[in-house]
Parts: sequence; structure tokens; C-alpha cells
Amino acid sequence: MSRFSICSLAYGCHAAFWSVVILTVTAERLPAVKNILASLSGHHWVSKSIIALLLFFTTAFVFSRRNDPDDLSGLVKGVMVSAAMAALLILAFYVLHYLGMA
Amino acid sequence: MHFPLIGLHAWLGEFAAVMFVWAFIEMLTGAERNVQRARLATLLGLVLVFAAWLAGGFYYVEIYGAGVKPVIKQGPMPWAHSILMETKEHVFIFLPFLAFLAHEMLKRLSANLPRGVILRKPTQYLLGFLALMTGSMALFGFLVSSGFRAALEQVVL
Repeated sequence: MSRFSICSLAYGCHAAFWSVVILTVTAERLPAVKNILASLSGHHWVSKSIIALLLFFTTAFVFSRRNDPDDLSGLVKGVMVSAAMAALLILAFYVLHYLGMA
Repeated sequence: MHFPLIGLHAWLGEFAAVMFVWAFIEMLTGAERNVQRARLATLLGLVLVFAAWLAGGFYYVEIYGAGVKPVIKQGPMPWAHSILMETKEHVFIFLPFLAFLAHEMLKRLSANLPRGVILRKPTQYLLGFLALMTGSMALFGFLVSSGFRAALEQVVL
């Protein structure tokens, strides 16, 4: 697995996190999307997991030749901010959804 | 009886969080021995979090939706499912990717220790963040289980 640069794995993380956010919000807003996801694997959550995995490795593969910078702090901070923002967005969406506001 | 499966999921996830905390502490020093131990701890954490994903996923798909979710939603804490479980089931997906990234960073660090000063801090921050995220998932899991227990208590007591 060392064929992947840290940079490519960081991009893979961004792709996986935001695919989960987009698919989650879209599926809750549009039942047709949830049905399509469910029909792909038998359950919408399993489909989201598989899509996130595929996007992670595809993105990492596409950017695998990109060289890492000497200082990885910016890349890692970017991944952590991305994960935190994605998680908070999902939480905020479900709070609003529970309150009937989304 | 589905408690063994959810117990396994919780144990795997919590043990993974402990592994990430261990790795984080090893990185405070960052000497060669510490980096090797951090690598081992992170590899164990990665395997454990992936196993927790499979165990929790199987439980969620096969048991939770039909047997637990309706009970929680009729109980005194319906938000335990509608907010916390819905968030947990999606945010949990982030953990294996973060753990994989942390493991790859430690591989680079141990193979290239002269660059250690530059690599050590971001790796340490990522491990701390991973421990925090994994621990938060455990807390959410506890609250979801509390929602189920509160709903059952409403019926029994």
C-alpha cells in the first residue's frame, strides 16, 4: 500500500467524507435516491459505505504519483478540519430533520 | 438475543480508541522505539476499527432496524435514534480512512526518522483526533443503548 503518497490518501479521505455527507443529505431529502442506494446492495447504509471505500481508493490511486510536501502539517490539518466539518454537518442536519426543519 | 453482537461492536470500537490513545502517547517522545510501538498500536487500531465497522454494520442492517429502532422511537428518548444513531452510523464510516492515513504516516515516519521532527507532530495530532472521534462514537453508542433501555423500562416498570 506504500504506492500511495500521503497527499493522495488525504485527498481520498476528503472524497470519502464528503461523499457520505452528500449521499446522506440527498437520500434523506429525496426518497428516490435512498431507494436507488438500497437497491444497489440491499441497504442504503451498505451502499454508502461501499461508495465511500471505492471513492477513497480511486481518488488515492488517481493522485498516487503526486509528491508529498516536506511539511505534512497542512495536509493533515485539512483532513481533520474536513472530517470535523463533515461530522458536524451530518449532526446538524439530523438535529434539524428531527425538529422538522430539514 | 442480539446483545453479544452489539457488545462485540462496542468492545472492538473502544479497544480501537485505546490503541489510538496509546499511539498518541508514544508519539509524545517520538524516539525510534516509540515510533515502532505507535505503528503497532495504530495497526491494531486500524484492524479493530475495521472489525467494529463490520460487526456494527451487520448488527445495524440485520437487527437494529427491525428490532431496536422502533422501540427507541416509541420510548422517552426518540432523539437517541433520530439524531445520535443517524449521525453515528454515518460518521463512523470516516474512522477506517483516518486510521489508514495515520498508519501510512507512521510507516513513512519509521522509514525516514531524520525527517521525524516534521512528520511527528502532524502524525500525533491525527492520532489524537482519531482517539477523540472513536471515543465520541463510543459515547453516542452508549446514549443509543440508553434510549433502548429507557424505552424498555417504560414498558416493564
